[in-house]
Amino acid sequence: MPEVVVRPFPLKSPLRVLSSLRLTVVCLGLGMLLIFLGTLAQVHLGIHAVQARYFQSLIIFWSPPGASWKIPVLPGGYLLGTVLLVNLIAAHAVRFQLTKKKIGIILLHFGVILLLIGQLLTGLFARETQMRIDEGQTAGYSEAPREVELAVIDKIDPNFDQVVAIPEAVLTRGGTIQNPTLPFTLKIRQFMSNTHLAMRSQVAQARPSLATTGFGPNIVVEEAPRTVKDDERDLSAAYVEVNGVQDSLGTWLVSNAIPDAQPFTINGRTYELVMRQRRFYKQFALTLLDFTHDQYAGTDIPKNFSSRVRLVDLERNENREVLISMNDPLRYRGFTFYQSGFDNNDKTTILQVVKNPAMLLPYIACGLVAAGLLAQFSMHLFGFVRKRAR
Amino acid sequence: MKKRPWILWLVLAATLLYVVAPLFQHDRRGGFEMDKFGRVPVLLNGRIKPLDTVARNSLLIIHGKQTLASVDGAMTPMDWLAEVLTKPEQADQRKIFVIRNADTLAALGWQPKGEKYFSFSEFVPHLQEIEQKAALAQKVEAQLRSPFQRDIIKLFERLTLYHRLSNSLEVKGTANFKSQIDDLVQNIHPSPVPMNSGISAEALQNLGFLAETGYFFPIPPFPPNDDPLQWRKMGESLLTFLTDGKLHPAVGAWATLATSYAANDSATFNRTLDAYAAQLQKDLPRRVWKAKVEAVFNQLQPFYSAMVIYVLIFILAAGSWLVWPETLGRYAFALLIVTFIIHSGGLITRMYLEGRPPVTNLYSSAVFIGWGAVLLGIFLERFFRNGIGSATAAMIGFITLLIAHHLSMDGDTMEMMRAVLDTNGWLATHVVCVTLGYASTFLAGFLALTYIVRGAFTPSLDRETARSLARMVYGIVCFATLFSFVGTILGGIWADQSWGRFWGWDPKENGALLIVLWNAIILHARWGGLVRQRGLMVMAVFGNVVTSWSWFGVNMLGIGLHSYGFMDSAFPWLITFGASQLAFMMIGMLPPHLWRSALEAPPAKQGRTLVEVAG
Amino acid sequence: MKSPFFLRPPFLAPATAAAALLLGAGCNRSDERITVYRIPKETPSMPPQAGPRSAAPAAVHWTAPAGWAEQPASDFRKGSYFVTDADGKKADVSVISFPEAAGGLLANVNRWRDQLKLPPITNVVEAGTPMEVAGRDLFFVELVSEAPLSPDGSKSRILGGIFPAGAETWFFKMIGPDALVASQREVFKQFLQSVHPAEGEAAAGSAHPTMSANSGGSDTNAPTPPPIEAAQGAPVQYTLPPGWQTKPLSPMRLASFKATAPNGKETDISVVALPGIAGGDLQNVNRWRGQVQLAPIDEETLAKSAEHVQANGHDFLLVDLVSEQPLKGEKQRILAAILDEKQQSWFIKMTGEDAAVASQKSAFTDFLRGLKIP
Repeated sequence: MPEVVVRPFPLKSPLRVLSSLRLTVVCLGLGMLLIFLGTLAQVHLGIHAVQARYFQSLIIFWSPPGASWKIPVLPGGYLLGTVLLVNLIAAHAVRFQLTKKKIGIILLHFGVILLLIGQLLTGLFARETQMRIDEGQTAGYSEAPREVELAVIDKIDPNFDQVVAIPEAVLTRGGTIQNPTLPFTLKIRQFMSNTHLAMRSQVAQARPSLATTGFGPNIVVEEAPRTVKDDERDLSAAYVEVNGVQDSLGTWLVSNAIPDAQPFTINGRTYELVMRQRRFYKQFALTLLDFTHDQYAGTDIPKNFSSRVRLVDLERNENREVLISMNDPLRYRGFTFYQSGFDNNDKTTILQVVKNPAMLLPYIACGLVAAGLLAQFSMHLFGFVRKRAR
Repeated sequence: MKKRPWILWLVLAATLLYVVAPLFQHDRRGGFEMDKFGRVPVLLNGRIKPLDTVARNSLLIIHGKQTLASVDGAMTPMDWLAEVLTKPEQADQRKIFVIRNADTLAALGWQPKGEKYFSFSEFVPHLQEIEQKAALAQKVEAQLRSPFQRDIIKLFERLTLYHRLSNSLEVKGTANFKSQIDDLVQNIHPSPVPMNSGISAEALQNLGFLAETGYFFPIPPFPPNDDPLQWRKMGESLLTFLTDGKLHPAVGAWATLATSYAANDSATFNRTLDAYAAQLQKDLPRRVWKAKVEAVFNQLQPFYSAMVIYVLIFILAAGSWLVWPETLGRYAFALLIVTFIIHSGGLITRMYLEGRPPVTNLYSSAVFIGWGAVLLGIFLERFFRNGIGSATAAMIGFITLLIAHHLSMDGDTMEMMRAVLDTNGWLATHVVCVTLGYASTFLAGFLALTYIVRGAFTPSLDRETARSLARMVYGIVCFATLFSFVGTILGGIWADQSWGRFWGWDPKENGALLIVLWNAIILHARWGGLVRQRGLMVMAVFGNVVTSWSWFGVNMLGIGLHSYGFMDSAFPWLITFGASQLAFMMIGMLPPHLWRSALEAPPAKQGRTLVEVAG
Repeated sequence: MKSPFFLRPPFLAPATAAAALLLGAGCNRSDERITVYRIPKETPSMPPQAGPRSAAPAAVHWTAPAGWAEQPASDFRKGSYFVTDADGKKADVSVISFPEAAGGLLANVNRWRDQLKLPPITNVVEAGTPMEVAGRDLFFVELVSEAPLSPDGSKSRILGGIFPAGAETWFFKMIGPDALVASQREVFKQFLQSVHPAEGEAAAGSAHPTMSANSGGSDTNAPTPPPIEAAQGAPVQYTLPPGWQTKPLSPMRLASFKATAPNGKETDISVVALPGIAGGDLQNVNRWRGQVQLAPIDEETLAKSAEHVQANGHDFLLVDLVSEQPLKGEKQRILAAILDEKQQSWFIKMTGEDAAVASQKSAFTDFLRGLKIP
């Protein structure tokens, strides 16, 4: 047991409360409750909704079914995390003492602080996307699996397409979108995060469509709640009106469920409208040479997946073959490519592309915490053994 | 009682004898060398294993037990398997399928209170019906299925397994398989298109059926090839023979074995078996050796023996608190060490057979938690010598091995690892650390239970014992914090290495984090003087609830990356365990005068800060 | 599989505002910005441009539904498309044709069943439903696997159409994840309705092409060759020589006899028919030579050493092989006749102890003469 020395506390009470062990215990206890409830809620809400509601919130509200009012029931992850961090920093700030006896505790708590900060940085700056490549094909971009964009593509250049990509966040806000490179404005008449689509010919008594041109008039769109399932993807849709200098060219329906680009011409120049998963172009490209998928003999249990790709980076004069396999990713220019899945009779690979500038922090934190715990507890243990031996 | 060392040696010798006794039981029903037959390696589910393992696991899945009572005495799994493979008309009559669900019985038009064991032939008129019902139930998401739906799916799977087993060597009901093979060999004209090889359409269909339906892969690759992917089912091997004319000698051997067993010709059977075993020994010595080790391991059942001895140890150690503390304590400790060696032996053998670190699935985690707790218990007993370490370790050893025993009912406990988990490095670090975290949290919890039970119900908890228990619990909680924290973080790093995400709020991750947090709370509460001796004990008991949730509870959610093993029957047990722990916590919080042991609480110190206490 | 939202700071994440101040980030998230960039034109094979397309080079025409993307047709495929759902799961549509009946309906349905790891069926009625397309019967098939075979872990489903057009049979197939393919059922049926033989060729073929033997290839993708008619068909007709007794038929044999020689030894006689020229005479003779441990011979030697028996207008090649050493304790003899006719090979073979077979040689040639090849 640690030696306990009780000293008169010199500081005023708010700091005293902030740095108290009671607060630590209360926060940790509430944290446990939060995690437990968050785990249970995943069964019905799905992991994404739970993260937003439980772990990435300040307060968790509860409202009885059908009621319009709500009451706060539990501090959310952000609030608890902040209080814990402040508690930790305050405790060490007011009582920092660099002695041999305390070195373990200090290391360990410093590790925890680093872990918290690392997770914060990850949350702010990390991005997870996916790259799908068919065998023999080359991909220069990755896609956000849960976010769409509206792309307006100018195809006039014989070698290049100029793309104006409007992210989901802007579409959600609605209103009129203007971009200096475009000789027209786009009015988002309606944006729906998730929809059911049907052919108009198959739906009796469907409402008339907002769309006036393109494939839109033939399609009936019904808004749907966002999916809670991990393996499902939202089918977003939007009605977009294109306005030239004087008049409207019409309203188009766009949806990531329909990958066809819809062309229109303005001032003799043709543009294309398409809604798709948000793309992130890279300064390099990967070509899938071969995807292999091994199974254990006599079973369909996957043993290993791997993608043999060629990495070509004209900027850096890089051109080499790389093997990406489960637990053996490719790291290049701040991106990490993980073997994530496959499709299409083993002819398509799906790579998880992660960019996380704070990637190293958890490693350092882990080392510090482990060293701290080890130092602290072995001090106890040796003390104990020595005492028993006497 | 005087010290009589020879009694101790006698006890130990008797224990060892009990453990190795199964090796001396030879199974030679009707003159057939069934032990030897059981050691023949075959491939199933990606792993080369002795036929004995196939027999045991199949019987366990179908029958729920590893032995089968019959009119002419108990049958071993191998007796049963040989019968299923070659004498279906007898095997079909054996009442081996258990049905416990009343709805299932009613659905089949059987008396819910009637017989609960049924033979395959009794199912034959209902097969289509069962298949349809199971197909309907399959459409419901796993975690939403009713007990009836789960039961009918299980029944269908068991019937399918039986059907596949009985069509593994020959098409069920073939009269003289050997002569058919000979006929084929004589008259075949190998052709790249099997149909043009001169085989009749019907025979070709039979071979296709065998290749499709057969359960295990008995035909090894042509030497010197030793690739597990090159093992073949009987039907597959024969179909290949139609195209390339190369007949694997094992086909003939298996056909002779089947035909001679069916004809009760033990002389031919044993002769063929000897020749085949010798050939395999020449071609695949390493596989044969491993299969032999596994067959012996199956026979010895070290975890089962250990489980039984742990009960004895607990009785001895708990007895030492009442009478002869010296002697009984010493016996218990000596036995604990012997049993620990047996337990370790089993663990190491499994690691050797699998070529993996100790924990690869839920079953092995149970075995390993018991092992870790016993190891820590031995250390505690070594220092405190008051029987508490022995008793608690033995109790956890018994309970975890009992859980493991029940988990093994699902079939082979040495399954292949899915690609995402296929990294020995992480399995050896992250998984072992987390599991040791479970083990030590349980140990602390059970030590606390000992404290509460002895304190509340017996007058035997004196202040000295209470103090040493408090030290033990405190020390073990420190240990648990270290391992669960490091283990959890290592898991995060593994996730980061494997798919670039350090933390994903996966249920199993959350469960591990709960253990870390709870242990941290215990330590901080203790350091802050928020709890004293009894408070520490009550909190440690709650650690049992947290750990059992993390270990089993989250698997029952049926969601998340870690939910590979889904089990349904353990849920009521988990609830019961949780409730019992809460009850013990209540007892722990009763006012001291209601306790039978008189304990004076040490003076409280309150209101300190983190850093002050940390020193 | 995974989403970026997993990464959001957990409860560990401290005050976002404070951190944002510290790091000078946060208020200008790239999520909110419209970006403009130039990219090289995508390769033409990629854009899944929808719209009706017709496959010209084939003798059968069809119209691909909107939403199906064309993929390059290979030598093997007359048409090739894919359909993608919102999750990027793909179903593959192929159009292939084979000369003649390509093994019959059942064999081909069973070939598809096999791809889904389903057991073969024996009754055509279970296989699917006929639908009328362009005035002919098109056979519509729908199959779902029992096991999850798709890469995404779901079951696989096949929608298929088998269409006899003139001298060819056309196979239209969509295979892919269960849900996706199921959702395409009506589209696929419409697609099948669009199938019609090209003008000028429609009249040439009959709606029900005659079955004829197909020697088949080694390509495992190819439709299953037809079952051997002789093996299942009418039994051979023969005159039983005196002293011969019929034996129960085995799966291999069209007819099976035993004859007891004057020396008391039994000989075994078998009649086997195989489609095509099964391996050629020389190969078969050498295989038999191997059975009596004689060295193989070449074509020339065979031509010189073999006898011929003329019977009923058939020309049997007769070989008589005696082992040099005793095998199984006595010298063995094989007396065999080969007849290559009607795209089939017939093998009539007598095996047994040397003297016993020798004593039956005349009975054997009598038997050949009495044999009526169906």
